[in-house]
Amino acid sequence: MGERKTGSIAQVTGLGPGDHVCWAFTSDDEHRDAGDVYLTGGVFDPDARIANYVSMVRQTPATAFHLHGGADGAIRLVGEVDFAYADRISEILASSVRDAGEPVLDVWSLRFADAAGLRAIVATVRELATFHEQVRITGATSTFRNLWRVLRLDDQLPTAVVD
Amino acid sequence: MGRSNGFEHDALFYETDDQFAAALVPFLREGLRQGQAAVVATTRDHIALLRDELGRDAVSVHFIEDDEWYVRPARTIAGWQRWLDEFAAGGFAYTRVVGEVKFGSTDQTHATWTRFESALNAAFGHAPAWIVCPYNLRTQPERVLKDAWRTHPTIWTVEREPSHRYVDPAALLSEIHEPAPAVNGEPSLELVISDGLGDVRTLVRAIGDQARLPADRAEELTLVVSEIAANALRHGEGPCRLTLWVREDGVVCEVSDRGEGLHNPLAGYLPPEREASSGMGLWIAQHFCDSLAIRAGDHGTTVRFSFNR
Repeated sequence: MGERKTGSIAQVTGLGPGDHVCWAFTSDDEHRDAGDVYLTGGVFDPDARIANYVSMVRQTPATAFHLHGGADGAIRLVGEVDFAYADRISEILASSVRDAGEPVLDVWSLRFADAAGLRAIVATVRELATFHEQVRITGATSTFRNLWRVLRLDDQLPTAVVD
Repeated sequence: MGRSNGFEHDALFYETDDQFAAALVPFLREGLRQGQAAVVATTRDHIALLRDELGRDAVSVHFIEDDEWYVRPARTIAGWQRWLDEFAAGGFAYTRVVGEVKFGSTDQTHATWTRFESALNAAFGHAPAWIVCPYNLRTQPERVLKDAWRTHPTIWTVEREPSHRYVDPAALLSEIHEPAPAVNGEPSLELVISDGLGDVRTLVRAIGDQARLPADRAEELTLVVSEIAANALRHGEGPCRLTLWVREDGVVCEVSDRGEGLHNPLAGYLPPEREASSGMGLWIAQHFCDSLAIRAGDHGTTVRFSFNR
């Protein structure tokens, strides 16, 4: 597994061409500025040149969430996802599937996910499962794994392996 | 005993180990003979007794110790559901279950597990299973024994007979309440939530730390607060109130809203049918907390739950 990316947009570094980035913003200004930075080559990180895709979710800072696809092909989820933005995040995840090189969802940096958040992830797993025999969810916390089980997702999604 | 295809839920009253074995060994053997699955949750001693009496047949029966099985009602319901699903997947059309509920020794735990016994009828109403719950007439308190007549459609003493005192689960759960975890002193945190739970979670994690909950328990507390508050925001009218107390043994938390009130007394007892649909908040809460009580009135709903260290 590659390097973990987390934190605010200003702190996430090391992205490269072809990466798929999604992040939360609290004001339109921030959206524009951050988007400009990444789309024009990045003053925070010289490598941050996002070629093909940028998604953003408007949220409060404390529920900030973003996602990106790394050079290893995994889709990386970062931040917190709860019922308030699960639907939006579900759309973004679905759109990221086409860019994913590997059927891997890396949730190591996902600080929090509630039942609605897991539902968004489930939709992505199903999407990935149409192209791949097995989908791996890596870096799950014990709470994530327990919730996965409590919601019977291990039975409903036998194609997904959570580790 | 006879054959059955549908759901059966019996209370078996016994006084001695001999009576226990005399009823249950033929019950289990008959099922095995008919190609049915069999699983038993009871005390260590009763497992040993049944193994001895069943002899070679014991290898076909799954045994579970009651200490690990009867921890929280929702976990037990989910556990039985898993066994039944596994057996069904393995080609068994019917399952015989023996479940000797561990009622504990306080009025609170008696209420908790009597509610569980009643909820089983709703949770497994259509399952191809026959659940027999042994009750020891010598050791169980009067109250527990009386309620067994109200939570089991069938009573088994010398012979099986319908219970004439059986009560519909929704009615029983509305009547017998879960006692709320006690609090005293000033709360450690009190706040009104109108939207956005991110900041709330940060505060709850801090409280979990302060209460010296292990890291994974603190994160589960955060999850449950988030789920219950999300419910309150979705179903209540206007903001909800969150109150947390740090106790010697852990954390007690209360979420109240001013909505119409929760009208399904079985909420939190019924396993998810298909994927993680909405309304799973209480089911999740019931799995992770150590106790949970709901007060639903015309002016709102209050959910109070505890997380022990």
